[in-house]
Amino acid sequence: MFVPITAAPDILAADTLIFASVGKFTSPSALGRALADVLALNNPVRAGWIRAVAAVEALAAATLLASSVLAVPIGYMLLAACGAIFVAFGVLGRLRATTAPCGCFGAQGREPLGLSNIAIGSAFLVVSLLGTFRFLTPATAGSAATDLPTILLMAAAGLVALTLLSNRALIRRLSVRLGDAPK
Amino acid sequence: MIIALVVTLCLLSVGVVLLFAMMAELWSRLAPLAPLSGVVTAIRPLDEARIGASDIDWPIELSQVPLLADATLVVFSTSCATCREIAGQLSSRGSGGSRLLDSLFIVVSCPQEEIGEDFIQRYSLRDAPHIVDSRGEWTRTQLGVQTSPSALVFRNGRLEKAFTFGSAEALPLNQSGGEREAANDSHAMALASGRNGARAKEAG
Repeated sequence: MFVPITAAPDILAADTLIFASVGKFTSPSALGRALADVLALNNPVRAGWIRAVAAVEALAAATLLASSVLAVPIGYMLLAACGAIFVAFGVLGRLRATTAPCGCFGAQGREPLGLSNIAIGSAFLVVSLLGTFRFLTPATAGSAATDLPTILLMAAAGLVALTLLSNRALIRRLSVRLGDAPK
Repeated sequence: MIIALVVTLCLLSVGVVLLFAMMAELWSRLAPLAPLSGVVTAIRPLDEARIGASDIDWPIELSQVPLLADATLVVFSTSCATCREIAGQLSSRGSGGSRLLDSLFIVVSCPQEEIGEDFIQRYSLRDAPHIVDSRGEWTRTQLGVQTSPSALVFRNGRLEKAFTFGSAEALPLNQSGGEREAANDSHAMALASGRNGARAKEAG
């Protein structure tokens, strides 16, 4: 049940991707509007396309978490692709000075496409590079196969923590409302 | 056994994320329209509407809209609870013998015409020029609107602004010249802040 500390960035990246994927799947319209804004489209991008992106993110997260038992570093490849796309749209958002809420995490968060996307995308690129390097190093390749349950447990705990942290404003608002209700 | 436990925990954690995502979506839809206290006068701009359009094929019942300097078209749906509340508010405004509201026109979107006629009858909206729009076809094709309740403000037949709202208090109706100017200003501010993602409120 030992998990090397080097697995932590992979778990964090996978949790972020799952969080973003579920958010996009539930609320695709905000990202559709944001993309239409930065790409100068007349109509918002259709929900089906946004959900397809969400599916790719979910696949990237799943393969990333299972990378210790896979023969090909497909998780890191998908992570790199997601990172590059995030950086590209972050740069585009900055250049266009868009103010439309990004919708990268669905209805959670109202930041426009910009610096935060560049930062997350860059982090994904770094994690994928380090992961690919580790994967290709003969000394560690395939050695973590027995750690998969622990990795999944840590990912589950991290995902819940990330969700609570990201929704703290909503939780606080609802707590206040519930406290005020009996008056 | 351990694998089953781990998979269950993973599914539960994804379920937590899903619940929060749905709650955030619900909050984003309700927050602009339904503050828990005070008069509900918040409005939110409707991006889907054909703002600026004047090439609208008006049915005979609404033929006065393009001829008026100011006209407000309110779109209701028979399956929307807020629409019923607002229809009730408009109905009580119009009671007292006079014509309901001078510049108000109503579209009732419904699955079947009988249901729409029943809505008009129940809320005594016959005083206002109205149409029953089966399946919302006319509203969608001519105005680009698929949201209810919504209000569309026309100036000389041109669609100037469109917004969704939570109370009849938000409608710019039955006002003198000065009141109308003030209402227009506050609507413009509310719509602008709504576009910036802030909760748009109006003093009523």
